[in-house]
Amino acid sequence: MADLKAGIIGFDTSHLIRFSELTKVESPNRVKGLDIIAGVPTFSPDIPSSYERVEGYKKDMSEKWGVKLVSTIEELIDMCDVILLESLDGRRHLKEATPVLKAKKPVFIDKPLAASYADAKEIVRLAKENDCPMFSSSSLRFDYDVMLAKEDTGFGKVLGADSVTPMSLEVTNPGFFWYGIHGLEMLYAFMGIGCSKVFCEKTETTHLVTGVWDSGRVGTVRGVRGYACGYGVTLFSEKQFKRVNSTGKVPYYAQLLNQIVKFFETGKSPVDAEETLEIMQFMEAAYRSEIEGRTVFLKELD
Amino acid sequence: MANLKAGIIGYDTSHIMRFSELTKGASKLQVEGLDIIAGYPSYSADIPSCANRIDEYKKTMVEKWGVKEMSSIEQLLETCDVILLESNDGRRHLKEALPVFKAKKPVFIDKPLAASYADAREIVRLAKENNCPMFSSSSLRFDYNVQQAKADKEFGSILGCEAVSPASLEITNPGLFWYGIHAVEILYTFMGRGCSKVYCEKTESTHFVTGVWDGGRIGTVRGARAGACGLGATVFGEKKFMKVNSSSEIPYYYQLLTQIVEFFRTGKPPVEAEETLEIMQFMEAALISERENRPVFLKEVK
Repeated sequence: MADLKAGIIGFDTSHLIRFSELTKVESPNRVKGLDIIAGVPTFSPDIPSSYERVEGYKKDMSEKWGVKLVSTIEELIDMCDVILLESLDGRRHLKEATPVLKAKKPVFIDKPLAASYADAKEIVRLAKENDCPMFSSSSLRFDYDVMLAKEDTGFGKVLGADSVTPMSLEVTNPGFFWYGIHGLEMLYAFMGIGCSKVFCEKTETTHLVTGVWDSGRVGTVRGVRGYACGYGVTLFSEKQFKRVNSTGKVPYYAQLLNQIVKFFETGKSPVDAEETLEIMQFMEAAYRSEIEGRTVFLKELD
Repeated sequence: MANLKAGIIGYDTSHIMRFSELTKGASKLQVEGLDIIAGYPSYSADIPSCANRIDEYKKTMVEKWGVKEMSSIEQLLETCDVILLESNDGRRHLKEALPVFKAKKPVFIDKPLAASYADAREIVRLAKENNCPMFSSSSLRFDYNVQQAKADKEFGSILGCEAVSPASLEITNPGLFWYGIHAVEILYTFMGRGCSKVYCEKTESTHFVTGVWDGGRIGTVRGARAGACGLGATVFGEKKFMKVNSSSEIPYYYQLLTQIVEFFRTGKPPVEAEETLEIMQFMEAALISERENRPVFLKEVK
C-alpha cells in the first residue's frame, strides 16, 4: 500500500516535529505508512507559547523536513489524503476542522478536541453529518504502560482510579483543557464513560477533581504545577490495586501515531466520539465547579 | 528496668490479641518492656462486631494469655502502671479515659480517639488538665514503609498526598471514624497539620475526601468498600513522588506497640495531641460534607 499523503494544520506545537521525526527518520520506533507532505502554518496570536514558536517551526518543517507550506486549508485538502489537525489552541479546532469534515478527509484532531464542550459537540455533529472519520485523544491514552495495564486481565473490573499529570494553565483554554487533559485521558482509558458529577478544588499548585461514575465508582485527577508527579494512575480493581507510571519506554508520540495511521487506514477510531465528548463535558463541568465552588452535574452542560 | 505492668480497657478488638502475641512470646517479633497483666472487658452491646466476639476474647485473654479480668476500671488502675484503652467503639473513650486521667496513668487510646470531635477535644482537655501522658493513633502511622518514606529526604517538602485504606462503615462511629481513619492517619503523617477545608464524596463503594492545606497543598483520602486497595499513599514531594504501600514484612502492630512502650517509658507522645485533634476535626468535617454535599471548613466544626 502506498503511503498516505498527510497534511498538517497548525504549526504551533512540538507534536509536528515529533511526527515528522517519527515518519521521516529511520529508527526502531519509526512509524510507517504516512508521508507528511504539506501544512498550513496557522497559530494563535494571543497565546505566547503559540506565536513564539510558529516561525521556528515553519522554518524547520520546510527546510529540515521538506514539508510544503500552503496558505489555505482548502489547498491542503486538495493535496492530501488525510489531515492532522495539530493546532495547539482548542479554540481554532471547530473552524479549522469544518472544511476537512466537509471534504470527508479522515482527520486526527490533537488534544483537546476543542476548548469548550459546545465546540466539541459541534465538531462531533459535523463529523457524523458528513460521515467523515475523525478522532481525538491525548497521547497518554496510548502510553505503553497504560495500554499494558489496560490489557492486563488480572485486574477485573476497575472500581476506582486516581490519575495524575503535570498541568500548566492557559487562560484561553481554561482549566484542564490546556494540559490537564492528559491526566483525564488516562482516567477515562480505565474508567470509561458514565461520570455523572464532579467537584474541583483548585489551588496555586494543584487542581484536584473528584468524579462520580455509575454505580458509585469514584475517579479523580490531580493536576500538578511545580512539584514531582509524572504521568500515571493508581488503579483500584476487583482483584488488585496498582500504580501505573508512564515510563515512556516507547515514546508517547510513536504509540499515538501508530494508532493514527491505523485509524487512517481503517477509518475506525480507537476512541468512541462519545467518550471524547464526555471528557470535554467533564472538563467543562470541572471548570464550572472550580469557579463556583460546588458539585456540578455533567448533565447541567447539555 | 522492670517491665511495666499494663492493663487493657475494652475487649472487643483484635488488637488485644495482637498486643498479647507481641509481648508474650507468641510472634517472631517481640516487643520488650510491657507485661499485660489485667484487663477490664468492656464492650459495646449495640455493635454486632463487638458483641459477637466479646465472649471468645474474654476466654482467650484469661486462658491463653493469663490476663486477669477485673470488674472495674478503678480496680484495674490499682494494679497497673500504664493503660491500653482498646475499646473498639470511640463513643466509650471519653467515659473510660476519664478515671485513667484522674489517676494520672499514662494511656494509649486506640483509634479513633473518639467518635466525635467534641468528645476528642474533651479527652485532650482532660488529659492536659490532669497532666496525664496520653496519645492516640492508628497503627498505620508507624508502618515501616510509611516511616521510611516519611524519613526520606529525597522528596523535599511534601506538596501533596493521596492516602488509601479500606473503609468499612459502622453507624455509631460514622464516616471515616470507624475504619477510614487509617488512611487519614497516613495522610496526616505526610501532610502534617494545617488543613482548612474538606469535600467528601460518598458512594456505596467509596469515600473520597479532598482536603486543602496551607499554601494550597492538597491531600486526599480514598476509603474503599469494594475491590482491592491496600493501605498506603502516593506521596508527591518537590523532587520525587512515590507510591508507598504498607509493609508486608513487619507487622504494623509491632511498629505501633514499640512506639507505645517508648511513650510509656518517656511520657513523651510520638504524635502531638493537636495533630490527633485535627484528624478528628477533618473526619467530622468530612462527615458534614458527605451529608450536606458541600465543601466544609474545619473551623465550622466546634
